Formats: sequence, C-alpha cells, structure tokens
Amino acid sequence: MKLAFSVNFVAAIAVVLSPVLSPVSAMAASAWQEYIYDDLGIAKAFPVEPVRTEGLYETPEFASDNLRVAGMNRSATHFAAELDNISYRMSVVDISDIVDDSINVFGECILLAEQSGEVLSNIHLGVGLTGGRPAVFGRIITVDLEGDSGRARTACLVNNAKLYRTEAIVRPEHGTLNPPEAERFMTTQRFDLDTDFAAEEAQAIADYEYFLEHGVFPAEAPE
Amino acid sequence: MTRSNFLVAGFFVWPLVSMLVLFLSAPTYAHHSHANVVEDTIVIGGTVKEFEWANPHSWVTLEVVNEDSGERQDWLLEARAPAQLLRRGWKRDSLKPGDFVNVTIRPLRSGGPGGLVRLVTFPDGTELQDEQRAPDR
Repeated sequence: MKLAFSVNFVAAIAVVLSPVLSPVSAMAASAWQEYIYDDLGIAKAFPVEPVRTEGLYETPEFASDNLRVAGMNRSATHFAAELDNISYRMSVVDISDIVDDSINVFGECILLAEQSGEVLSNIHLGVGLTGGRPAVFGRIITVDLEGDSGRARTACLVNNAKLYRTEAIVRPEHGTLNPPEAERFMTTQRFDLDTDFAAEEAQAIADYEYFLEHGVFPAEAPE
Repeated sequence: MTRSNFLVAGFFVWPLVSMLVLFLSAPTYAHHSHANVVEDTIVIGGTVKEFEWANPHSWVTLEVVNEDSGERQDWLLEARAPAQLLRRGWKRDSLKPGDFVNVTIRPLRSGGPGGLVRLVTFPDGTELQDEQRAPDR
C-alpha cells in the first residue's frame, strides 16, 4: 500500500510538472536545422530559425597597401539568430560587379575580424571537399572581444561572386567561451544545393551490401 | 653545409617538405576541413542523448560524467554525412538515446567539449568506425 501510494504520488507530481518541464526538455533537445537559400547559393544550419533582413555591408576605411577595396557600403542580406547567449549571424554580400577584387574583399573580411579583438586563432576552412566539385576555401578567425565582452568566431568565404561572412559571438553569460555549438556554426554550410542526398544514401547502402558480399567496394572491384 | 648545398636545399628540399606537409594535412574525405580539431585522439565514455542523422554531417550529443567531480557535461561530436556513414556500416538508428558508448574522438582545438568522431565502441565490443577507409563518391 505504501509503495502504491508512492508511485501514485510520483505520478501525480509528474502530471503536475509535465507542462512545466516539457518546454525545458524541448529546449534541451537540439533544434539545429539546415535552411536552404537558393537565391543566395548557400545552405546554412542554425540552432533556431534566423531572422532575415536586407541591409548594408559596411566596412571602415583602412590604410592598407594589401587591400584594393576599403570602405565598402554595399547591399547585403543578413541573418540573425540568438540562443543561450550566443549570437549567430550570417551576411551574404553580392560582389559580382567587383569580382576581380574578390581576394581583396576576402582579405578585408579577415582583417576586420582580426581587428575586432585579441586574435586567438586564424585557421583554414574548406567546404565541399567531397562530391567531385570544386571546393570553397576560407578562414575562421577567433578573437576575444574587447572589454571581456565575449569571444567571436568569424568565417569568411567567397564563392560565385558572393562574400559569405558568418559569425558566432559567445557572451560570458553563456558560461563558457568555447561551446561546441559555436564551432558547429562555423562548419555547417554547403554550396552544393542540388545534391540528391536520398539518391546518395541509396547508392551508399547498395555499395555497402556489395562490400559485405565481396569484401571490396564496387569502386575497388577488379574489372 | 656549403652555400651551394644550402641553395639546393632551399630550392628542392623545402618545397618537397611543404608539399608533404600539405599532403598530410589535406582533408581527403570530409565535407569540410578539420583544422578546428587536433590530430591526437582521446576516448570519452558517456550516454547518448541524441543522434542527428543529418547532412552535410551527423552529430552525436554525448552526456559525459566527470569521474572526479561527478559533473555532467554534454559533448557535441561531429560524424560524417549519412551516405558516408552508411558505407561504413552505420544506420540511422545505430546510436539510440540511453546507449552507453566509448567514443574515440579528435577533440576541438579550442578545448571545448566537442570533437570529431573516429570510433564508437559499445560495451559488448561492437564497433562503429568513422575513420575506416571507404570510397566516398
């Protein structure tokens, strides 16, 4: 009887608390999703659906012998999302009219990121390394922002006459400045928007079944 | 080393060394490069909270308990794309919430709780390879 009472009591507590706890559970579960922007030539994953706005991509004037572009004021499409004291942003800038200066636009993106704080790292980023297409290369710059206001990771990529600038800013209130979610944001974009993943997976299953039967993959099988 | 030998070394050896370094560091299998993780692997044990079977790569959230402090921490681990995992014997439900597994990873260079999956080992010794070579199309 005592046990039954305990079970019923716990069940009652669960029923009472479930409406309160279920949103917490839902928040704890990952909500990352890839959003495909055909008009911008990129698919990008965000932890929550970003807000899309049209605006400007403005850069300050520099004195730099290495950059032929500076002080840009161009139209751009911006995306912004906010979760757990991390700001996730992406800007897509059309540079088709100055495509010969792509490397300078790219360089300026890196330089601006480096000048936004104390540089912790500047590493390479390659996207689209499988599938037999040309890969897209860029950089990821990590800096500690001034005034202990957080840590910013910025990725700069140029592809098909567009600058893609993505940024994850982690504020101290998040608890750690090195959350894996910020790193995930830096590497979850792709430009192969016409990839048929279902067909690829069906082929992969067939290839693996062949491997189980013959000990080699079809691509490795002797003629 | 004479000056001429030094020049020979400069002209031939260093370019070869540079090419070798580039070759060794070239990501030959992945959707994106992995300069954000270190080469050395570590093994972490924990309970699967979530397995996202997703493109361009899959993700495992593993709850790891610190043996010393008892603190629980979620590790976010990146695995390959489904098509690549399927060629290595993985399935959509290979990892289920509640599964306890040991995972060999290349940890994040930043020191954060994350990394790149190399090998998953179940308590009965069953393994899921993520590093094992398989021709990716």
